[in-house]
Amino acid sequence: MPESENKSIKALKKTWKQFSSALYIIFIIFSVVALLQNIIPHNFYSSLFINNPVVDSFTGALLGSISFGNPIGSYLIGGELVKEGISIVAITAFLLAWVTVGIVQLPVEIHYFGKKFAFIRNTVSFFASIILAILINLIIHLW
Amino acid sequence: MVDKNNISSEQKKNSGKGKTSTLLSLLMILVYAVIYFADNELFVKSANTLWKMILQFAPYLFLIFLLMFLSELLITPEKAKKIFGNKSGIKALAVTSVVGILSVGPVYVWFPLLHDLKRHGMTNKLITVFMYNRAVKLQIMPVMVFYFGLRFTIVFTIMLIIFSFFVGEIVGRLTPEKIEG
Repeated sequence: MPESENKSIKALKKTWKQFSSALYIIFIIFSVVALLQNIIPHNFYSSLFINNPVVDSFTGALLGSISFGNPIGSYLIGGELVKEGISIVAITAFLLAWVTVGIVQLPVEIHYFGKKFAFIRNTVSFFASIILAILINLIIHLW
Repeated sequence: MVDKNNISSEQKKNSGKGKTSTLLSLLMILVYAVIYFADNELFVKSANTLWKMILQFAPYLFLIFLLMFLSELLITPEKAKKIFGNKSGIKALAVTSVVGILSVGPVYVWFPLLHDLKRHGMTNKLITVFMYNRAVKLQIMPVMVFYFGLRFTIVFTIMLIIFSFFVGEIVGRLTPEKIEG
């Protein structure tokens, strides 16, 4: 079998492994979200946010920082929260912090890069997610 | 060359994660089964919501698979190490951003490689740029378009890439490398 073909098959197998694991994650998140949508009163999430772009993006970034898992999860949760009426600024900060800030993986990051780097990178990324969320939505409004 | 110990520990981690996902899926089925008997109305409502969500999302699955496959085929940790090499300046920023965007899998899988590259001269600034650009997820971008629209996705992606340079610069200045010798 030619090497390139072998490589493609290997990549296909690896992709399928990752994809099937993503399918589990999608199913779990969908199941939880579907259940929560019917249990939690509609005004619960809006009670966490106060319609102030700065405070709401701080709350969104905080929620994103302590959450973990495949980023697809943040899109699904964020998308559903937007439907619930949560401001897009808060959701943008949530999406950004989910991937750029890693409280859960912090011990591993410290192990490889040291305390100083890990803390500074996560802190800067946290505040950057708030500033960037506000900027992104400002641009969208002006567009 | 990637350390064999790293590969085996990565495989162990992945297999552990797979088991956790399966267990959590079974747990969710169990939760729904309990609700079916405890509160049938809640079960019907939740199952309907779940079904609607699955139907809305299904067409995007094929596209996600295709993009994941292309990323897997085009970029590997070994290739990344070759690409970073001894490049510096704007070229290194551009290469780091592209590799960060195309990289797949959880970020901690890339930590051993980044650590290795750091020993070979990769700066904290570049490591930060790489990690920040991982927030751009080409493989699942259709999902973002589906939920937030094309305009949001474009602005989000472009701004994120631009901002990664600022974040990299700040982290780089706050954590200067020790010069040996």
